[in-house]
Amino acid sequence: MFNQIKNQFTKNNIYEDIYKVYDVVDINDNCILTKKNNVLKQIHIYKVEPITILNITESITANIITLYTEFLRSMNYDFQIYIENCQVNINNYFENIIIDDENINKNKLAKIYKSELETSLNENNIYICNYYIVIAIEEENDLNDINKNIYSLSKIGVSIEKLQGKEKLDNFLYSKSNKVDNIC
Amino acid sequence: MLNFYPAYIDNTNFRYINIDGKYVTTICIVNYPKKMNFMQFMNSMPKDIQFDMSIFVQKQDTIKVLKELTYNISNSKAEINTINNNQIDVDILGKLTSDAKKLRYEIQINNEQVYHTYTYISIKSDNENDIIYSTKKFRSILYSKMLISNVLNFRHLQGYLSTLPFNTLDESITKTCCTNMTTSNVANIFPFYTDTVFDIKGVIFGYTNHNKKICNIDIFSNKYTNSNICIFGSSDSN
Repeated sequence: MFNQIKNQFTKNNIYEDIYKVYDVVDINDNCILTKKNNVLKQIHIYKVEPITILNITESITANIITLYTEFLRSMNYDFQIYIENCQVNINNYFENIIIDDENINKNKLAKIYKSELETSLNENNIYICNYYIVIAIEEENDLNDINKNIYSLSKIGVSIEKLQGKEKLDNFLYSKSNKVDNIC
Repeated sequence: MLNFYPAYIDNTNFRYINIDGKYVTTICIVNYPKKMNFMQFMNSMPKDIQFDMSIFVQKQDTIKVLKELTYNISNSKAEINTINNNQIDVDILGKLTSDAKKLRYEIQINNEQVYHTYTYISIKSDNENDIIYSTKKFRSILYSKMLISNVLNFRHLQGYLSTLPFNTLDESITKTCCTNMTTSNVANIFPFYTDTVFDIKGVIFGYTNHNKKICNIDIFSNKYTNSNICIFGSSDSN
């Protein structure tokens, strides 16, 4: 019985037709265009820089809940919150802190600092989350309303930036659809 | 011509899909704790596994929901009056009715709105055995925090497409994963916060007292209001 079900789902279906799997029609500087069931939609993506909360107090909680509830009530469109949990690439980090001045690199203190940094970073696997809000709309007119609502989230303390530019959107989609390693 | 397409998607195994050599499984959250506190949802997620998560929030027509609720409450009342009190599910029926009444009260008196929410999480790995292990580990961590999840076996492709940033849901997986929530419940799953202080181009200042994680700050980043002064703790803090 189990094998019958398995065969039914996998029969003659080795590779999916890539062009049929995704509904993406085009990517332009402002948005991604998709077409599903003959309905053309614009996909707008907003990157959300999160707030840092270390010691949460009741007043902070109450403020955030009030403002977020206000956002939910005013938002009359369906939306998607997209979260990627990614590992911080330590090698990239070290490349960033390499100093061009050779005298400093030869310095004993600098060497100790670097080696200690390396061990402590390797001991701590650091993961950070990236957040996005994704909106799909049919008419361009709705965009002003949506922008107003989404940017109202900045009252909480988060900063919001719209993903724009064909290349940026293309790279973003490439990393998500190919499921490349989430490494920052 | 679009450049983001993967070279191939292999959907022959019901336990996972293979995209350009990466194994991907998708799970959906089908049940949440009865009382969920603020930040509890994101704190329940394991932070040492790479994953992509999509939370879909869809506002519902309140009047339609109220009509359905009232109809169902009257039906259950009639059923309670007619069934035998020794029946096993009599308590469940009573609980359902009281929950429905409570929801109706919240909508009418506290002006709450009703949302359909769907949560999908895709986990990926380079290794075939590792993906099964990671999925089990992820689910058991969620289960320990009272978040009940289902693996989308046979429907991993639909699950994968739902975890892409297109805001589209496949109908074949929406029925099993739909959860009704009120405005206050959706507000409690506020995700846009972090408990780590790590800027990628920053300098390490030490460890945070709160969770003993590395504190790495780029003081010249735009997200900080003033790069000339940096306060790490309040006065009289340890």
